[in-house]
Formats: sequence, structure tokens, C-alpha cells
Amino acid sequence: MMQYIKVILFAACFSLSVSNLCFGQSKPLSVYGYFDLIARDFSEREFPNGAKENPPSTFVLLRTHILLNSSFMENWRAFVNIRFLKGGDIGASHRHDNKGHIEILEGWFEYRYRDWLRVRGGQFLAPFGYFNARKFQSPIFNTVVLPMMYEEEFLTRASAGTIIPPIQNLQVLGKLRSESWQFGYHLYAGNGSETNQDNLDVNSNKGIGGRLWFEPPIKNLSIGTSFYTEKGNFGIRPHVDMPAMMMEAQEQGVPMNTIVPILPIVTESESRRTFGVEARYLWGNLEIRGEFVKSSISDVSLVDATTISDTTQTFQFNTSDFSKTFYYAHLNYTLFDKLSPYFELNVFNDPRHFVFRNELKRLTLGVAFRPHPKAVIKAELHDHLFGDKYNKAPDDFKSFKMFWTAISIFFN
Amino acid sequence: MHRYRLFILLVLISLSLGIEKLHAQIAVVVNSNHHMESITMAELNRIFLGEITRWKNENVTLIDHKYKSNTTKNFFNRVCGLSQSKVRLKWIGKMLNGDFQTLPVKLASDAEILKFVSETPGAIGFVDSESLDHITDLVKVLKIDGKAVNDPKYPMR
Repeated sequence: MMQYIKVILFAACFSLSVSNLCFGQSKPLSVYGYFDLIARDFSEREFPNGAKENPPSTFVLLRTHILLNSSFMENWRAFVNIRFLKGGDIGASHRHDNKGHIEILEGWFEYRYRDWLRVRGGQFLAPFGYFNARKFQSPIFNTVVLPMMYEEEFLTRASAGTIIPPIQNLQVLGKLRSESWQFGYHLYAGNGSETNQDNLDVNSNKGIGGRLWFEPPIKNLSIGTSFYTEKGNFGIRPHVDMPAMMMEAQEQGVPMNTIVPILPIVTESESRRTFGVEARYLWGNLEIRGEFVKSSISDVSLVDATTISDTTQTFQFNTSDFSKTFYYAHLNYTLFDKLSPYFELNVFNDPRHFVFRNELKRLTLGVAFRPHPKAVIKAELHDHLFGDKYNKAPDDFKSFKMFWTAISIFFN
Repeated sequence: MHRYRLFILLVLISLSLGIEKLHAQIAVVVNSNHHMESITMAELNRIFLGEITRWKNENVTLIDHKYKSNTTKNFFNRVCGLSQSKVRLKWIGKMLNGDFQTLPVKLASDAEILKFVSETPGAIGFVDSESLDHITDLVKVLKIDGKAVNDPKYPMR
């Protein structure tokens, strides 16, 4: 169904825009976009078996976005964001392998009644937190990667699942302002995050959410809050932490080869709730920013282990707490209007996470050089530290470092 | 002795001219058919940061200066609290969000800006007040916070 909607949206937007061009109206189609060249390297092993990603020898073209933007009939706007991904393993997720993948990331129509009331329908990134609705807009960011909560690749690959709402379909938004303050709102609803094996929307669950932000009379301060709730089956489960289980079995004198992990049952009525707060302050050339997010899934059923087998040792998850929290603090300072060194601390806490065992900290040091507003060259070093709650991980698996560098160019 | 006095006098005159140039007044101009006569600093801030994109009956057409100068530096610092580069970056962000359809028109001189404003309803730009000598009836100079350009309390002085 969503595929048809996408095609219709694209065709409608394109034809409207082209008709504007052909008949020379005052609001023609605008076509513009941006691309990212990216390179990265692991300085430590990522996987416990010693496997290491083969880093590209030079920059690869990670993604190109082509945007189509058209205004028509006074108060209407159509917008399409087409994404071409071609970064090999970089940026790959459970949804695609990222080798020549093309998708319509966004495609929406908007009716603007006044600044305080706009209605948007189609497909768009959910406004959540400071970045989600624009998390791919690399030319305007100093950092190569965004705070971990916005990442698709790392969180989905590591099983915890993204904690940020997925693409949504209907939104009401607007701004109210006085001479000294400004207030904005986004309220939206969508088809939720559940997809079938072909990654198509199954249309069975629904989600609602919103973001409110406020710029008080204190100059250059902005604060906000976001929320999202969804009911359905998300398929997010704790991964089996075998090393931890084996250690615990050993302590209990149970033969390790008899352990059977018991996972929670999938139900159709789980509830996922995500809540976030954000703040940003500009003090001259210094930017200070921070966000906190808590996400939880409730109504997850647990199997009664005793019904499985009387002879096999079982290891059952002893909690139904599927909450995770995330926060970060970011500092950057701009020198000579072109050079921005930055520091960022990310903390992600997920008791069910199989890789970093309850907590992951990421320290980032980087610098962005912006020779022109349309171009930025960035480089940053990440140091990841695992919480390792059970203290069972080998030493070379407790942390790893990564180096990222990117060139992002906007064109129009 | 006379030579020294003359030298000091010349230095003072050139300094005062330089200072005058650094703090030249900036005039905000719109098309003569524009409904507004006066604008506030807060409104200017939101217009040039892309928060306000429509006048009553038409879209706002922002004008950017192609080259950096003391006028552009002073204007963006005082109106937006940001450098010209950072304001340009915000405009790119607006385009990526779909809020802006194009980047502001870049023009090379005050004369070009005045000509463009005279031909474009909805256009808004800023020029050095010295350029107002060449102004035509098709361009209107906005008061800021109710003060005209020649008012001693004009905020963009």
C-alpha cells in the first residue's frame, strides 16, 4: 500500500512542479540536494571473534539526496526527498544492504493556513528531539555522525532497535510568536514501525507523537520535549548474552552445554513509549546542546520456563523491563567563522543489550572545517566504552575506537 | 611644530572617516507597494532567519549580499546575532527541510539590490544608507522600531 502511495506522491509532485515550470508561474520547481563522501576506520576489533571490517582505502560516496520542492495554489507545497545509498557496509541496516539502494525517504504535501497552522500528509521523518526530522542533513552539521539515539545502523544492527519514532504520515504543525518568545508544535500520527518480510508496511499498528519547543525571552536559548507511543508487535527482543549465561551457569555448577535460553513470547499488543527533552544554548561562538530520551516497551509476555522441559537447564530472563535511556552533551566552538572543534559525550543504557552489556559510552572529539556554507569537511575520533555489567568480556572487546571523516556538499 | 599638528589633524580626520565608514547606517528596503512602513528588530530577525516566510499577500523574497563587507557583518550580527556564514547555513537548513524553495537572491552591489527591490513585490534587503542617494520612488525605506534612518535613535546606526 505504502509503495503505491509513494509512487502517487512522487508522480503528483513531479507533474505539479513540471507544470509550474512549463507555464512559467512564479513558483517553479526547485531541484537541489547534497551528497556525502565518507571514510572510516576501526582502530580496535569490533567483534569478539577477531573479525574486522575492511576499511575502504579512500572516501566512498555514502549517499546522495535529491530534493524536489514546489509551491502551488498559494498555500500548498509539495516536497520529495529521494535518497541514493551506495556506501557498501557503511549505512547498511536491517532494511537494505546499502549497495545501490534508492528510496523515497520523504514525500509530502502541505497546506499552510497561517504560520500557526499547517497540515502535512504523506511520508515524513517524525519530528522527535532536536535532530530526527533532519537527521540526514549532513551539510548543516559539524559532526560526521549524529548522537547515537538517531543512528539507524548501530542500534538496529546491535538488536536494541532504534528508539526514535519511524516515518509518519499525517502532521499538524505551527508556530506562535510574540516579540520576545516563540513556541512551536508538531503533532503527528502514522502507521507505526511494523513491516513484513519484504519491509513493507503491514498497516496493523498505529503510532502517535509530537514535539513542542519553546524559545523564551532569553536570547539564543531553545528548549523542547518530544513524545511518541505505539501499540503493536515490534519484534524487539533481548539478544542472548551467551557469555554472561555461561558464567552464571558455571557459578551455579550447571553444565554449560545444557543451557537453553528462553526468550519472551511475541504478543500482538505491546506498547512502546518514548519520551525526550532537549535544550540548546548559543553563547557567542559557543554552542551547548543536550538531550535525554527514555524508551520503554511494556506488555511483553515471558515464557514460564518450567513448562519447557524438566530435564534441561533453562535460563530465563528475569525481568520484563525493556526500558532504555539515552543522553548526550555536545559542545562546539567556532573559530574564524570556519573552523569548529567539538566534543560530545553519549551515554546509552540498555540492560538487554547483548553487545555492550547495559551501558555504552561514546566520547567524540572532532573538528569541522567549513570553507563555504555549502561545503564542510569533518573528522572525528570515537572512543566506545562498554559497561560490561558481568565483567565477562575479553579485554580487547571492552572498548573500541573509530575514526570517521566526511565531506558533505550541498548543491542547487 | 606646524607639520606635527597637520599630521595629527590628518590622522584624526582619517580615523574619524574610517570610524564613520565602519558604523555607517544600514537601511532596510522593500518595494514601494509594500504594506509596511515600519518593522521591528525582532521581525527583521525572524525574516532573515527564515522563520517568517510570508507577508500578508506574498512570499518574502530575501536578498543576500554576494560579497562580505562591514555592512553585511554589522547587519547579520546585530539583526540575527550570527555571522553571515552562519545565517547562510541556516538558510540551507531551511531548504533541506522544505521550508525554503530557493536560497535568497545574491546581488553584488547596493545599486543591484535597489533595482531588484523596485521590481519585486515581497523583496526585502538592506543597503548602506549612503546608497539611498540613488533611491527611486519604487523603493521604500522601512523605519526600524518606529525610527527613520535619519533619526538619531535609529537602531541600525
